[in-house]
Amino acid sequence: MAKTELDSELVGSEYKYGFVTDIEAEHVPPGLSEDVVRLISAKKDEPEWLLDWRLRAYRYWTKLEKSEAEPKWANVHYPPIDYQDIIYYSAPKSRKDGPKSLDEVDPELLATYDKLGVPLHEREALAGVAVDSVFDSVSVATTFKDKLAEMGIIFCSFSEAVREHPELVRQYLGSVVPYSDNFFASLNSAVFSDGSFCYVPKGVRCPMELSTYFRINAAQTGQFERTLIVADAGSYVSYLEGCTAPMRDENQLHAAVVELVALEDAQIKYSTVQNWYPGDKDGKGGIYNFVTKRGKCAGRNSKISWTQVETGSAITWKYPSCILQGDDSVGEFYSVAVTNNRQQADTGTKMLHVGRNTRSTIISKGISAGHGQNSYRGLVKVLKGADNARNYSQCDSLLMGSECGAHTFPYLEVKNNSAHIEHEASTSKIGEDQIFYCRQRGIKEEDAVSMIVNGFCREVFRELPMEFAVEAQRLLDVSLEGSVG
Amino acid sequence: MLEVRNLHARVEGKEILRGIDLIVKAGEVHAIMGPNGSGKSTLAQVLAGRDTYEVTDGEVLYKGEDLLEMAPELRAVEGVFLGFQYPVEIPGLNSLYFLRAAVNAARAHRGEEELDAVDFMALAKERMKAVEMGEDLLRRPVNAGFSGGEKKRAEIFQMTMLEPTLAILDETDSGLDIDALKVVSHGINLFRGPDRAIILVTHYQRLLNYVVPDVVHVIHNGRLVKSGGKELARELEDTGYSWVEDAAGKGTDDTMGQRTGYAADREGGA
Amino acid sequence: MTEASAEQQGYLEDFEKLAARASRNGGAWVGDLRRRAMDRFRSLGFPTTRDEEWKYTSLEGLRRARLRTIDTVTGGARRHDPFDSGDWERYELMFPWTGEGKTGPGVREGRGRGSDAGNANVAEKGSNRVAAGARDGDVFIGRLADAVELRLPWVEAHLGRHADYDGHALRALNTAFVEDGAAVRLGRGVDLDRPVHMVFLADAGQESNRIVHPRTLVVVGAGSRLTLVEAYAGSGGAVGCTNAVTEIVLEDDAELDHYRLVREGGGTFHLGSVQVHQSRNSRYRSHSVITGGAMTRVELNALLDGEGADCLLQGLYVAGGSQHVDSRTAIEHAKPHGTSSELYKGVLNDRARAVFNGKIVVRKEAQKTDARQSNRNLMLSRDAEIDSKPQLEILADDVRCAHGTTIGQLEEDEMFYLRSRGLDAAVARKLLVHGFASEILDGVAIEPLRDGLTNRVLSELRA
Repeated sequence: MAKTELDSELVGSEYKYGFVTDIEAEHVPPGLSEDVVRLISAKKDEPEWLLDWRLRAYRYWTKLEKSEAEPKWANVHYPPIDYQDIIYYSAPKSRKDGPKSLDEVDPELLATYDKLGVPLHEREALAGVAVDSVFDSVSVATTFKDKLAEMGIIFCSFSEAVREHPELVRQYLGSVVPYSDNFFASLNSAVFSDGSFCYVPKGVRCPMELSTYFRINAAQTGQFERTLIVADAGSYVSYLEGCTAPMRDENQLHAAVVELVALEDAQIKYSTVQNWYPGDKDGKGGIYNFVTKRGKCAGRNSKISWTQVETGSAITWKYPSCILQGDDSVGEFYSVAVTNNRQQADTGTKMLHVGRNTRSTIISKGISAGHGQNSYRGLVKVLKGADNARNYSQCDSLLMGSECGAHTFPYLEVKNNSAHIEHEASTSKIGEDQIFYCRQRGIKEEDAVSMIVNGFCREVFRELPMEFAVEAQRLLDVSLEGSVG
Repeated sequence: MLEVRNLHARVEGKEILRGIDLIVKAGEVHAIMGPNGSGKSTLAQVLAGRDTYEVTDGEVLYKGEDLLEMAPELRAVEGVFLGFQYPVEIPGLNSLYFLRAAVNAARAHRGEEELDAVDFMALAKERMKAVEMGEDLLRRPVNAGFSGGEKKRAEIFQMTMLEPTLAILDETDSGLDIDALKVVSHGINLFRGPDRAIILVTHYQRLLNYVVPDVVHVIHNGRLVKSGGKELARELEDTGYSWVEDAAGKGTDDTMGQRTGYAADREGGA
Repeated sequence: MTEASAEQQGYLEDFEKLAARASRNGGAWVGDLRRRAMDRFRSLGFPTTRDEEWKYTSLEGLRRARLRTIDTVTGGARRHDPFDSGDWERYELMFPWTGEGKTGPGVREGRGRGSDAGNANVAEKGSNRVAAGARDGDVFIGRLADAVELRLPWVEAHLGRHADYDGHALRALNTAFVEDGAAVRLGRGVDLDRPVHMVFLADAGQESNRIVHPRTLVVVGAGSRLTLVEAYAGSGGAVGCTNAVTEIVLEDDAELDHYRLVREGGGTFHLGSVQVHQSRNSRYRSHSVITGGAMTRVELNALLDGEGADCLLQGLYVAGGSQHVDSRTAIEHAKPHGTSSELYKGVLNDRARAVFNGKIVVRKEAQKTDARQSNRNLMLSRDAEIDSKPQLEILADDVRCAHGTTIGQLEEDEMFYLRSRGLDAAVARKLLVHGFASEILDGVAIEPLRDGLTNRVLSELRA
């Protein structure tokens, strides 16, 4: 029978989510080949067109792997990844045909989510959160489906969407992030095993926050989930995503793809609190978080807003982006990225101004501590026809300790002279005078640092839904613990 | 309440305090006056525990305890308050949240229950009136974007909230117009009491028209060179600081930069 | 050794000719330096837009042009000053790269345009024309070729030691062809009585497809002060290339005001690279003005390698037609207490394209660094393009660094304000553009030069 081990020495303030759930899992042997791709597709009983798409992606990826392989331009360093040593499919072994309701879900799994603080059971009703949880490779349970279905909102696992709504999936899959987009997106397109799908119909305002929790559990396993959100004309949806993984000595790969499509007058708000296992103090273990996230403001007056709090992962490589295609569309990116110990982050955004009167805002707060290396990399591109494009970018870095680094690489490319582009960046040390001021008022140094850092991040935190904001602050405190002294 | 004996302190190898002796009793208001660079702000910062200053000799007893051994936050919760000459801005950190954390830190230290948001707000509203401070200021980040006068009022307001036993107010009067000065003085006077002591550090005498001190000290080249009653402040106002060098005694061997300026003054004036 | 590509072949042949001709001049080290650099160029090849450093600037045109190197500095008739910079006291070094004669360039003391006064070759074989108050041998102003031939010790100590060509094909190419250009050295405690004005005229005229590799070495001794005007100019539309490298060494407490002016002819590629090495408490002030040329790229790198060094970079680039102008700066703080401040401004018309890349690096040891950078761009036409890439790489914690970039048109409210005061739109626009450029031009301390530049810039702007 399943049992959960909780190594109390390792857990605690260091990495609270570092437990391993001992659930019988079914996985394919390590390694990647056309056969593995076919196997994954067969296990999920996918239609022919999807298998074809996966295979095209796989072939493209093998070409890339032979030529330039992974992108080299990011300011991160890691030993070569052996893609034949990764397990590309792992599912908790459960009753045949999967759970029909929460009652059927393996209780150990539910206990795991409990530990994660995922409000999967009754509590979610109070919190008003509908949760889709992805555990390793398959979607475990989706709550609140019925209530959402009444409004015509589809919120389900990706596999289910392929079965139940193939026309929607086929129409939008790869429409924002094509399989040829980049090395990791190609890999994901070939082997993605599950993820979340959401469709909000015309004119519907989704009444609750939709949420997905991701967790990598099995050893040696890569997680390749795929999320697709389509907001039809005049609709609104706010989506939350949280991530954790157990502590393991080897590095694990997470290569997800998120695609958002906002049609006319639609709005999508996408919030992430990423707390994958960052590795230990010496940089051993931890998740390689190589993720492609992109939204397309396809319709007039649409809006996509990304908010991310990145405290985890050994290496983070992600650039949630907006293609501002519709006239008057709006893109936003709010980010807090923390690197402590040996963590490395190269993160930022791309704002591609295509339509007229498009606007974008970028607020990035980088915090480096320990031996952490934190890079902001962002592109603001104004195409020829994008009259009256507006962008404001602000990238601030805070340094805590003498061994860390903060880097800023903005790219501003403007081909239309009616554009108005403003970029500001600053880097400074956490203020000693600020700390002293707080201490003089009786506040402990640790608390003072936490308050100052939270103040530094406030413009980003206020974009998060309330419960997430509290969680984010707490995570920030935990990940910076002991970094000043 | 406070006993300072032969206090020496330096910064970046330069000796700023050269033997301060000072005794402050409960209920008293002391004014420490001196020209720029005389060491008065250094004294305030050293008493509050700023670690940029290195104490090289002497001792400080606060309520009979060794103050210099205490961390800055311990001094604060033990009742030592420093009103900053230049209150620090902390972007993004809400003033109310900050102040509640400070108030509750002190309460926790005294073994009292923490104030919840509602009780705290009620108290804050009441105390704000004394310094005629707008509530909107409290909704903004700590000191961020405050005018000079607003910052000083906010300092006094924080003092009234924290209810320290020893308040050291460093140049609280600088940068205030006459109306603001009256308001701030009113706040300080309300705060006076038999169990509390105040040290006013100031360059000018005008604050002392409104907050009348029991003792006035003149600081020069890191030493208290003269002490007296409130009339000493008036004397300083009339004659300037030019004469203090004489009072400091011929034995002073220092070559601090400011000295030539005062010496020149003296030649012109005396 | 990798096989040389077709486009490198001509350079290799020209190199062998130079190597044979110049083998005995100035000691073996120069020959070695050239050969090492040539080897490097062979293995690097021309950069392509796949290189991050060349993402926005293509050298395809240059590569295809198969240029041949003009084998020596030759020149004859003195040209008049191409910058119309008027009448001011200076030491003048003229480098006309033409095919017209064999008279070498000379140094003149003069008062500028048309003046024949003091037409002495100050550096003729190193005869040092010494500024007032300086000791003998303290000052050298002349040809690099002479300085090399005279085996002056400071040449070997510095030439090729600072402008690293390892990852830099064009510097490698220049170093491979290092032969002539300007050399200026001040010993300790010299305050030169007037600016040094060096003019490089790539006035190919009839001759097309020519490339020149001017090399300049400037050494400012401890506590010395120098004002340097380094001007590159050309005329005519013939295709050609100036591939210039300038090495500047500032010893402790040295001060240099450096004006680098570029106004090449319509068919010219100008590839300039300035490398500054700053010692303790030295001050470097650069004023760069770029107009003209088909494609201009100027790289300016300063290494603040002593405590308390200070670096100020100001730049203005103005482009119209289908010009391409690429300004790159890199300020590297390697020691504590350094300060740097940078302001680069660009004005673009027609289909012109500008690239700005400004990098600030603060190394781990460089605590208490204060570095600021700003890039402001004005796009006056619909078809202009700008790519700006400011960059901070900070490895020390106790620092203050900031950069800012703006890209846009003239402010509408400013335009409206002026028009509401009765100025018509054209005049208002002219005033505002002038104002925008003046912020940089006003920093030029030599008044006649400033006026000349201002007129030049305004006429380029047609404003």
